[in-house]
Amino acid sequence: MKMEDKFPLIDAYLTGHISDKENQELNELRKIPEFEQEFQFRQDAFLTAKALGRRELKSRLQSLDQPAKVIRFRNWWALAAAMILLLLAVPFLFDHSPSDKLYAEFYSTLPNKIDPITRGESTKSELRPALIEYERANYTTARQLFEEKRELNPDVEVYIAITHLEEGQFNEAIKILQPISENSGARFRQEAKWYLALAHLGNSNKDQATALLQEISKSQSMYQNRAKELLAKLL
Amino acid sequence: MVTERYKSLEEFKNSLDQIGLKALDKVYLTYKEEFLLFSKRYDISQEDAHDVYQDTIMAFYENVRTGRLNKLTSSIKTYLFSIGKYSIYNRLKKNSKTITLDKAHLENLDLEAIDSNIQPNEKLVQMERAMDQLGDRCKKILILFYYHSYSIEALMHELDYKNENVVRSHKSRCLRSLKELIKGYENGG
Repeated sequence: MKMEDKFPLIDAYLTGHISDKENQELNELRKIPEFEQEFQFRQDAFLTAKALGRRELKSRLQSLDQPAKVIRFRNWWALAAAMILLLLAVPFLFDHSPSDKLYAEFYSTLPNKIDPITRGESTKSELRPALIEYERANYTTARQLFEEKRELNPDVEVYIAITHLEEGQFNEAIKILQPISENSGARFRQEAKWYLALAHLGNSNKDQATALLQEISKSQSMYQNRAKELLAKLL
Repeated sequence: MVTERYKSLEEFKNSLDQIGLKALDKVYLTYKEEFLLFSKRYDISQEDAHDVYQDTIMAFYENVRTGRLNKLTSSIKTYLFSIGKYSIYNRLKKNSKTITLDKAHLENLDLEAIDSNIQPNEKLVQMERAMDQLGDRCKKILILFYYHSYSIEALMHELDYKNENVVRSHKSRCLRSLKELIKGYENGG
């Protein structure tokens, strides 16, 4: 039997669906270095998928807190006036809503990559208070704290821009992201470019978003696939 | 306004199988206001209370998915509020073991979701980068399998695969590509 055939035991262990007997077998197999290597790899993949899944679910729940606003009409005149306004707005809606929708579909908060806060590990980073607020989605507070540490670490600029994006302040985000996306020495240049494209999209500036996405999709960026996908929907 | 509540865990699980995460949305909305009101007894901001409640719902969901939670002696509400209270204490950095009353509800559960400080280390950040590069289909398979505890059979239905073998081989391929990407980074890519 090939060793690969035993890899599902690792997944059974990670997802908590392993019997005592299988667990014993797994422990024996882990004494083989190649098997242990696969174990470590799958464990990392498991933890990452879990973190990603959790983040998706969290933002799903957060979005439930912002229900669509219901407008109550006091009389028919008001309703008629509203309908006329709506009719006038139709061309505008058709022109703009697809990019808004795509923005919502493709935007996700940039994870904390500056100083990952690991359980049980005390990081004495000056940025920690800001990052904690950021991870708790308290973006206004996070921004204030980040701004105090601007001089300390240029990497925080991208995160300041993200706090603006989170609050729909696209122009502010663009002002910050533009120079970073052009600075070849910036640690988060790829991120800056991707979020810059999204910020333009959020601003309904399709042309600028498209130009940036085309650049990303041709580069070795980690956002290459997402950029291609978004372009396909945008064009 | 949500009026209809799940009467039992069983009913919720059936609904979860049928309508997916919409069932969880319903639980979330059903008890939200009550939970926020309940949280006012503690020295915790409304913003934090929202956060705690979301984490509570996630911990509940995760334990249902992994099968750690398969029987409830109390109502879903009582159970959620037990986790929620634990979570508030946790947030207030008080000793969560002081809630002896609720211990029975929380035993054997994985409450990692309410420990808000869990974040990936450098190695996992690299893994995340690789998953992003992997493409959406692979990413989805891995998240459904590892986070949402989907079985191979459930994956087959969810993602419209022909049979379980196709799912297994696609999943293996995704993991292989993931490994290659990581190797690429380690070699300076």
